[in-house]
Amino acid sequence: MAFQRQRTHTPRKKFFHRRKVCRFCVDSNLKIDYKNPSMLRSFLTERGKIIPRRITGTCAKHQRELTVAIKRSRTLALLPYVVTES
Amino acid sequence: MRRYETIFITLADMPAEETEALIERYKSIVTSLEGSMIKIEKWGKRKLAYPIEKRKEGFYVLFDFGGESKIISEIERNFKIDDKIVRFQTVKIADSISQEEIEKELAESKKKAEEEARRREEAEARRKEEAETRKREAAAAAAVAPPPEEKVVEEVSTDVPPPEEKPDESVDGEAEQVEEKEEEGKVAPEAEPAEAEVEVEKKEGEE
Repeated sequence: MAFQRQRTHTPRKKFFHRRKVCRFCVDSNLKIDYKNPSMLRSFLTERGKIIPRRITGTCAKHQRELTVAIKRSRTLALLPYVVTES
Repeated sequence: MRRYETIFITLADMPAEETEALIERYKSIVTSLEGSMIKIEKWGKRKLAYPIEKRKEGFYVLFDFGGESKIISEIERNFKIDDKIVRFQTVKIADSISQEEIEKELAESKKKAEEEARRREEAEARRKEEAETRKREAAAAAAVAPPPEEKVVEEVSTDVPPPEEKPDESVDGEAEQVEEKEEEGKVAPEAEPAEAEVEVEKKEGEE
């Protein structure tokens, strides 16, 4: 049984895993700015929630900056707090 | 002296002179308290991401200035009293800024404004050229791609030309069409791979 189990597990490991890279580390021209909502929007879900960095691949340092920027532009009504389905 | 950035939202349905007067009034608060204005940006009417006081639109104004913290307390006190101000936010950009730096910034912002005007002119000229000949257009596209702009902008710039080209082909004479087809073969292999790469990179980032 144990032998069989191992077999079933191996293909999972081989599944192609793309390494995520922080977008802000790669591209130094891309700056986190609370005045640029269109850029920040790509880090929000359709509901307006901030996407966790395990999904976007952003590094810890930039994710911290990003959350602050998103929250700033939320207070200025450049980004929504919530998007309700209508 | 510190450098601050204040953005405030006023009513969108106010006459232009009134908004102008309002901006002037807040500018005078900054300057009267020994602050020095670096730039004032009027973003204009924008849709709010969520309604504030049942308003769906707002007129955004950005102040960039250097000064002491007493300016902030004074200007924000006025913002709170003024019912034409829908929302405001001040962010400290730098802890210290000298008079020289401010002057430098002023000069730079002037230059930038001039450059932007120039760029706009160039862009318009380019569009005209594109309409005239495809050769020039290809050269312009190559020139546009390298400058350090954001990815999003690049994509837009690369994506835009095709729809513009099509109407041209239909309008132009047959003789020109032949020429264009020949050039298409040359231009396409250069332009497309770069675009594809950018898209792949983006996808990686998103996932």
